[in-house]
Amino acid sequence: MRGGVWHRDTLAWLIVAATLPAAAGAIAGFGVAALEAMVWTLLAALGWQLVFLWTRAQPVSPIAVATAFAVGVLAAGDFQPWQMLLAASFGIVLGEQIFGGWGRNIINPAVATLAFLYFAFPATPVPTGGAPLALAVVPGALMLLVTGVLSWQLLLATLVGVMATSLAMDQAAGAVLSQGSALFGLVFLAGDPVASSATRPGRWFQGALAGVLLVLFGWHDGVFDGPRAVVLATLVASLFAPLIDAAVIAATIRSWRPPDA
Amino acid sequence: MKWLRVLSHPILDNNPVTLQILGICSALAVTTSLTTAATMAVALTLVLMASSVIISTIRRHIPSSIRLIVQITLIASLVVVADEIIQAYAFPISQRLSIFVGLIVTNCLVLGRAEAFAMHNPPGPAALDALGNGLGYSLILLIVAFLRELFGAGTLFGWPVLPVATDGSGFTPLKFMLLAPSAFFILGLLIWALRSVRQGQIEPPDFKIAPDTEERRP
Repeated sequence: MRGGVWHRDTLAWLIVAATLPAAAGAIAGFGVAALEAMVWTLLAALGWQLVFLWTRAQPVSPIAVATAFAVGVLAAGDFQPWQMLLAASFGIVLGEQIFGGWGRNIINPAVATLAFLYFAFPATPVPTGGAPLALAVVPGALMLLVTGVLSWQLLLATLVGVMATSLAMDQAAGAVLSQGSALFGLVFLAGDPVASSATRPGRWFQGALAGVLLVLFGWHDGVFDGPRAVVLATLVASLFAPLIDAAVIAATIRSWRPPDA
Repeated sequence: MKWLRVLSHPILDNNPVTLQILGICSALAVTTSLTTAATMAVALTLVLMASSVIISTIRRHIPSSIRLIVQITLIASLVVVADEIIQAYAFPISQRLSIFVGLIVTNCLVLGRAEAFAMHNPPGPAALDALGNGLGYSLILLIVAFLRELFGAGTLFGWPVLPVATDGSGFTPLKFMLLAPSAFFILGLLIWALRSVRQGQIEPPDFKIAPDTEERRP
């Protein structure tokens, strides 16, 4: 069954490679806290992958590295190891493994992990990456766009959503997009090929939804809080993805029917 | 022996919360502390038993076309009595439970047992069935409330159990456990654990993935 090069693990490795510059940028920017978050998340992810390999024969996937990178970039705060392990276990098991492993999940495990961290330990501040991190995201994003892993419709719709909402709220769209954390989340979490919409019109809707929600959630008292906003926006948008897909498919089937039937 | 099964069957094998997924609303709302959960569990069990016995006693006199109205009227009257008693003797708890004692009326569990069991069985088995379902509901409520109060506040029935950190050392309460989503997660994990032990409770899949077929070309 595994014909060709484009099987599941190739995609996972591609996503890991694309995340690598941003992860390096986060470690350079946030210091050892980012690295610690990555290591603990990776340990939890590998542990749970092995447990599910053993009990349910679910193949392991290198996507765990990308999940760890994403958590490191967006949660480089002063979290204790047990807090990271708890949140990562929650995200990996309930966000990914329980559905049958990577490729069958409906939300990104990193998003689940981060949402858990932000809700369970709201007192811990999370640093936001600036323009250097945003620049580190760009090569990975280009690579995913060229290989087709990241849908350009989705990314474009997200950017349009961000700009339109910024305009409507009279805020600077540049302040959102030049914030590394927000841009990282938009590219790698909201644009996650598994958890996002799978139909082409659906991608426009879902991307726009993620972009609009990001701006709506982000501004508090004139300060843009990228990490929390992008994680919550992605969570809501990916929960809507199956509904959007179902609507698009239903509309398409209806358009196929002869008009008098 | 058969009567004993009527009592024990709903506690684990046919649990109203984890198998029938009834009464979820109150299971989320009142389980932030064991005190409220226990009060709610007792109130619901008593209302359930009383309503089942009364409905079962008059089951042959209820016209089938208006049976739901009669059942709801009976249940609502009992709930009002339970609410008044709690307000009279445990006013602080009544305030913390807010409207959820009153909402026992709309708890699908009570109406479900009245409609499914009490309408077709004599008062004795109906009382046992109601008691079993009430205990099953109470069991889940108490487990969820135990976990949420222990990890969310470090207390049990309001008594400090875990050394809560005040100056950096000790246990930091997980505020997340006091939010409604955590109850969903605990319930989900509980259902998962129960179904991996008792595999008969697993529902058949709604959809099956069809085997791969060769691409057909005209």
